[in-house]
Amino acid sequence: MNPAILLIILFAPLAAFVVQILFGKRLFAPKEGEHNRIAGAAIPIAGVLVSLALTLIYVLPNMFQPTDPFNLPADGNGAVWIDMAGGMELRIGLMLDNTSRVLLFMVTLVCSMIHLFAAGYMKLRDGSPEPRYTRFFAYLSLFTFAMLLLVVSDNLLTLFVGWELMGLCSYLLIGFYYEKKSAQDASLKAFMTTRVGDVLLFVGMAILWTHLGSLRFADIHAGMEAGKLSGGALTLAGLLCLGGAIGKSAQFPLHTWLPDAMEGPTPVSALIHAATMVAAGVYLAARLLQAAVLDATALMALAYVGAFTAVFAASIAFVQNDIKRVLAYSTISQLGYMMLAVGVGSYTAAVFHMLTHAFFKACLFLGSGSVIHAMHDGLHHVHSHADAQDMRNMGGLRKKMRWTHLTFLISTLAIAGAPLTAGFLSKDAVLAGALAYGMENPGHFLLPALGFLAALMTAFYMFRLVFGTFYGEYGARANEHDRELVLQAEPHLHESPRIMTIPLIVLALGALWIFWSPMNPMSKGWIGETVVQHEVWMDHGTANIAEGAADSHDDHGGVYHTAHNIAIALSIAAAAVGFLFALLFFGLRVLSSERFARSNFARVLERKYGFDELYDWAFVRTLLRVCNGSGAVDLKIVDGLVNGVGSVFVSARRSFTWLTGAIDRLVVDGAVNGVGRSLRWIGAAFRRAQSGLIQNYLLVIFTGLAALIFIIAMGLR
Amino acid sequence: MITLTHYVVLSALLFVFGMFAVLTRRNAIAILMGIELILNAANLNFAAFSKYVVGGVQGQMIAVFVIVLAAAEAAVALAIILDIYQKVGTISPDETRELKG
Repeated sequence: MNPAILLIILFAPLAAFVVQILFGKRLFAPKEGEHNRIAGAAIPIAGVLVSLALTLIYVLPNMFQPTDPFNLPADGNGAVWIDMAGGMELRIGLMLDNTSRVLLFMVTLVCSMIHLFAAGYMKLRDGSPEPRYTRFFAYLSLFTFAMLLLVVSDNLLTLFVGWELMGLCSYLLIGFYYEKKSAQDASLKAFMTTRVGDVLLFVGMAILWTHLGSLRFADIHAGMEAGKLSGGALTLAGLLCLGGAIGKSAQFPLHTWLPDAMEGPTPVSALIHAATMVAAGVYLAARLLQAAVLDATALMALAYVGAFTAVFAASIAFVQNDIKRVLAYSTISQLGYMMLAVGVGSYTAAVFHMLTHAFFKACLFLGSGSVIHAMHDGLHHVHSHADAQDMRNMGGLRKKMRWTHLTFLISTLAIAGAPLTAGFLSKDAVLAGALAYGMENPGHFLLPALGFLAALMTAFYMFRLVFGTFYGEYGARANEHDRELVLQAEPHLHESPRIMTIPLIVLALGALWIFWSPMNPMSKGWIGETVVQHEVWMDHGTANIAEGAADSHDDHGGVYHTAHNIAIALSIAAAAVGFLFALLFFGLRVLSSERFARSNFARVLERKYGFDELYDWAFVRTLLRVCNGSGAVDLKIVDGLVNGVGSVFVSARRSFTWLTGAIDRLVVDGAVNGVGRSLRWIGAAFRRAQSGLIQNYLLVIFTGLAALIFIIAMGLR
Repeated sequence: MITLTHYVVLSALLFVFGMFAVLTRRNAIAILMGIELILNAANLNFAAFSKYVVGGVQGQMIAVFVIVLAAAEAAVALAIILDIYQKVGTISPDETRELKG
């Protein structure tokens, strides 16, 4: 592969961003009364399609078998970025190993689809052309670049650059409708919350740098092999880096920003908060595992955080009525799965699940976008202010939106883990990994148990969403106040335009088993074969997990096989039970959820376990209190001190002034006046000479002349 | 035979008469006439010294210049005296002394 191709893949979206942000508005400003603005998205779409095309041509064919990592610069040592004194230098480079290839494929494909979808989705806002249409696509391009940079980095430093750029894009895009207070708040919340994780990651990087003198994954791994970093420092570094991953992937306890991030436009939710950016946390965790930075303690913590988050977020999703929020919590839950998979050492499964999840979650989000688009238009037509995202205002939409319904259903099946879908394969791999771990370490049976519980819950709330949106009777559950207008909106509902449905179809195809299944993961499938290419690194990781590392790799494989078979059965059962409950409660409505909905527990869930309030109380209010307190300290003590010092100086100055005033008066003024006075005396004395009698003057002149002549004559003699 | 000495003595007499007039007259026009005498004393010296000592005509040239200057000076001075008379009512230098210190 030509290095230029990798660079073009990486920088095409950046170029598109630069052109778009500088000239986009001027080039594509809409003319009077013009509504078709898709041209405004042309450059970013072109940029991302270039990346996609090159990826499909040059990266995809190599993806299916183990390939040596492709390095840039080619010697694999990276290029010096910053040369510090004392032999320290920061080396950076690009690397394309199998993990990167898989992610590159995923990112470019999903990004392209979402760009296309957004071109249709973002055209209008409240019936008039979107004023920041071109800017929106500029941000999407920048985001794409950031994610690509993160994926192809061979070091933590440029990975961190991409990481932060994505944080920035996330902030800009969540707050895209910055006229809304809620969007402003959400963007700040997302930025600040992930920043907590980012700081931890940065400190972790600093520890690695201090001990290893390099941030490149290969060097880190080599350093670990050489035992340069071990014991408590290693655990600390691992935990800190994972803190970054947890912040970015919205894991407990830094999960609160992701649901609020749904304030952004739906394509943003699909792109950033479902398919790619939040997966970056998992990617980082997987990379760290590859580089053997994570020791047993860190992995254990990660596994428990992931498993807990998976169940925790799924339970909140039970009671949400905003379709995007349900999907947001499902994203958190699924990311928990991936973290669990990394934590138990089967990071292949994590990468695989990340890959399939990107497809079906992007499809789900875009599907919800399509629904919201239709609802919004319909409600706008009848001038209703009902919530276009509340699924109680929907129902029966399958007849109106056939493609959206079909793709949404496929993706729901995939996320629930129904057989014949991609989600089945990957979720299975995750659960099998967790189960194998639980069987090897019976003390940790909770991990697989939580995993299966989350699978059941996922099937339940996802089908609740599907039934509530696409089945049943339209508008039947709208509240009294809105019902009339909501029902009037029905004739105006329509399927979205083709530019929006085609991406849905492409992504839904990716959610089917066809693409993945002939390559069964883990055993002989391509994912298993390719992503585990760094087997040594894997071993290092699993050896750490096994706490004592008595078991050999073969043993591990044997347990894995047994676990896999059990996991298949159990996960199908879990999904089926979840589906069944959803069917009884929300599809057929044989059982009533009314009593549950009125229970206190439901209220706790609706408040999301009160974490927003807790953080508000613990951090925001505490901070405000601290600020007010320090403000008071400022006012009383510091200001008092300053004023005190000031008054001392004022009185000092007063006496000094008096002294200098006296000196001024007596000495300086005296001198000046004295000069003046003496001049006056002299003037008075000489004035008499000027009598005004001109002949007197002449007499003096002639006398003087005569005297002069006499003197000269005497002198000559 | 007329020598340089005669001229110098004549010139000195002229100068003294002129000076005497300038110092003693109570009439501005008489003072002006005294000044003319002094100037002509100088002219006589120029011409004499030019003829007897230096040779050539530079002295006579300067004398001609001085005559022209004296004419211009008389014109200006008479105009000033006329003006003073109109303002003060007299041309006695003793009584026109407003600018004294």
